[in-house]
Amino acid sequence: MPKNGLNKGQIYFFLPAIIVISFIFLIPIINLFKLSFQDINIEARTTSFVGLQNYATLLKDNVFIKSVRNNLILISMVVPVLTALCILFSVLLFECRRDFKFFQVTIFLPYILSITVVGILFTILLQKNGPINGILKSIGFGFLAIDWLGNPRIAILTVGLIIIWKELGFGTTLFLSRLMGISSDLIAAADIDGANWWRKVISIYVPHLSGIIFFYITLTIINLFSWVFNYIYVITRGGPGNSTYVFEFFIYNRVFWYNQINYASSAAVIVFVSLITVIYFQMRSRAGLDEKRDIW
Amino acid sequence: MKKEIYGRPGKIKKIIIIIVKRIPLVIYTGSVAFPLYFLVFNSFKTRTNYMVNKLKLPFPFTIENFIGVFTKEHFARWLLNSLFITIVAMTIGSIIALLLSYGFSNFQFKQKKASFSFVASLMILPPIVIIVPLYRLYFELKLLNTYLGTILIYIAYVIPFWTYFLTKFFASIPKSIKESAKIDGGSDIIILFRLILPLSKAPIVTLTVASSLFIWNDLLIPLIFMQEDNLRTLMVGLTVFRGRLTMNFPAIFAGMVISTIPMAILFIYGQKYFLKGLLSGAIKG
Repeated sequence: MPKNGLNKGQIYFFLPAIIVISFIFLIPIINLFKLSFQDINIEARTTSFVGLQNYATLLKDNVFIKSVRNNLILISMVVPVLTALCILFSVLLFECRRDFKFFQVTIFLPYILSITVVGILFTILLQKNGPINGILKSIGFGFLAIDWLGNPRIAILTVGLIIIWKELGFGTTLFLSRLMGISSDLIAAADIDGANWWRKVISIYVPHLSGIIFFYITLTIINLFSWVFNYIYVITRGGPGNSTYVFEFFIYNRVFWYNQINYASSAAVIVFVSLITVIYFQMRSRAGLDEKRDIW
Repeated sequence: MKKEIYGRPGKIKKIIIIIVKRIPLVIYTGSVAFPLYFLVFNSFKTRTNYMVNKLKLPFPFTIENFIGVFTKEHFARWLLNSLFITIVAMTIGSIIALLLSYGFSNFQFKQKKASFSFVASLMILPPIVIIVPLYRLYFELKLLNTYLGTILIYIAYVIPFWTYFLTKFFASIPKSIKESAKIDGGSDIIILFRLILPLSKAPIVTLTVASSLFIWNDLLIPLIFMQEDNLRTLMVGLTVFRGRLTMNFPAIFAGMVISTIPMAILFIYGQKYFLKGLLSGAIKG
């Protein structure tokens, strides 16, 4: 394609990636939109165009609405708590250089563990008569010994807690690496001026972290919106009842248990379009940040 | 770096402040350590010992669970499946991404920025979006329950992730180095593998650790595309295990510990670069 300014030898650098990406991402996405407007009858082997009917049904489906709500619950619970804890622990770690290594290695361990391992482990730990409730009772916190995963009102929040446990180490390490870039002169100057701890957090650490906090929050929102399937599948399988259904589990369930391919596709389109919107706004504001910081 | 950062107050107050600041860290570290302690120590207990006491040290100590796990179901096969898929997908995916990143950072063409943004944004496209049409496509092409089919999906996920970070890294390598190599008659492919690659050890190790973890630990893709029992990956196998060995918790724990070992080794090996990679901004905000 000489009009693009690439010569023949240069095309080969792009070709393998173009093939794989088209095959795995582009063609399926085009097909996804097509499927979402169709109704395939497997027994009669007919395919009919039904327009927006799948979407209309979806918006009236209580389970779907519950799934969306659970994603939103996870986002509104995990994002603020996780971000605040990441800031707190990265600052505390930054300020205690001496035992730094020990803490740092320990808190990073959950990052290596798979969601499957974490999920199975916590379902055992959080059983109603399980070890965690046993400990809580023995130290006088018996009122906290609730049915963590068996109570449909609480289960999704428990999943949120497990996600925080798993994700906190990575976020903290990420923030910490950014804090290491603060010049020690700046902190020394703040100390000489008599700035207390809180003041330093607000005026030095958080502003220094603002870029990465923004990045981390966006990433976490995207993850909680569309990458939580593994947690749900391992920990609750959507239960008890359908109290912990999320977007992804809803789609999986409709396709592979009920064979509602078209219906599930329209749900997947909604996920896709929402994500594109988030990415679009993220990129626009990122572009602004990048220009300011001159990364490119 | 070594400057005292706790301000001027008296010594006792200073020590109290230090202790107060450590308390949250200790609580946090403890809450991380406890589940891990529970997992590892119980994997060395006999079944009856586990039933009687879940929280004490493993005494009598047994490695029976670790040996036994390999005789159960297709555990050994699952382990090999995971290793095979991870290694092959990582190798091919990273080579394709190296080429692409070199192309993005060195060649000029129209819509470069847009196509780079497009590739990078695929990184966060959740598998659930493509799974339904892909399942149908694979059904037609007879790619369901094949290594090739699953590996292709992971390659497709390795490419955007690597390309995003490598392109930025490659762009930061001084142009003069590449130009002098060009004058000496090096083609682009030679420059990439002889010159750029050795300079990129830190980001490459970082990306290898991160995407191996993703592939090794993933559940959704193999759950759908590798449904035959002997084709399962270890992670899917573990969920099967839990269903079938309901009462034999120490065996499940042993399986989980084994499933973590390869990634722990990789992480320990790559740790220096991984944390360095974070520090130098290979994973950048």
